[in-house]
Amino acid sequence: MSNLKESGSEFSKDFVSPSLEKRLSIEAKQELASELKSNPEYFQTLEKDEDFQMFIRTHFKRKEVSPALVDSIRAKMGM
Amino acid sequence: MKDRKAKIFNEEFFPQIEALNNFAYHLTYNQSDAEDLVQETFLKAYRFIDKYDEGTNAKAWLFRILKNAFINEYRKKSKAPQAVDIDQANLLKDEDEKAFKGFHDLREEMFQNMMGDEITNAINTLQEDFRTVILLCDVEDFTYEEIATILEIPIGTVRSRLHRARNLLREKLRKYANTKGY
Repeated sequence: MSNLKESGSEFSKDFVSPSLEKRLSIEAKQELASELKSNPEYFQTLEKDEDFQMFIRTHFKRKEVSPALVDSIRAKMGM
Repeated sequence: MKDRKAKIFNEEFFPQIEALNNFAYHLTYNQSDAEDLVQETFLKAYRFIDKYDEGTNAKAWLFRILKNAFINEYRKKSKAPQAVDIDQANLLKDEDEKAFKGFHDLREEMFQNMMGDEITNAINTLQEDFRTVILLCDVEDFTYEEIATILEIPIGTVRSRLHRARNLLREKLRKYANTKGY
């Protein structure tokens, strides 16, 4: 963990992205919680990365599905 | 059998149609082609429903069918193959850390002032392979493992492709924010 204290980018590589992908191991989650407690700047980094992903997700414009498409699919499948 | 099919389609497959249509549109950039692709996906799902395990991951299963239909049928028809430009990808790799740092230097209000159109347009300007992982991960919330299955590539490739795609997107948004004075 000491190497993480040397570099914010190392922290990001090791923890921020894995955290966003929800694939941290239990040990890594505990280590992350401990690191965040002792280094508030890392918390800020994590928060910004999560904000970025949330920002993309909420602002991305989704295409609406036309009822005609659903009807057409159902008709072709005889449903 | 027919009842089982109807149950799966109504409870598991049709709820995914908006996400499928959205993904198809951002692959083809054409609503009519996107709808054809979605329709083809559902018809293939109907044909091969015996290969689907009820109550598992319908969304990932359908996305994989759609992706294969896009590659095998739509792309052949349009005769417009796309692939990551290796030289450009390597250049992007060199820019990665700089872009990441640039993103973190941005002021928070940049986010609040950017419009959805700009975000969507920025994603649309990414090359197909990069755009695809952003759509699957950041928009549709698939895990690395699911993305690897859908795209049929190793998890390590998903990770590196997503890393580059996000940094490229950050850089595009940073440039846009700068032009707006943020």
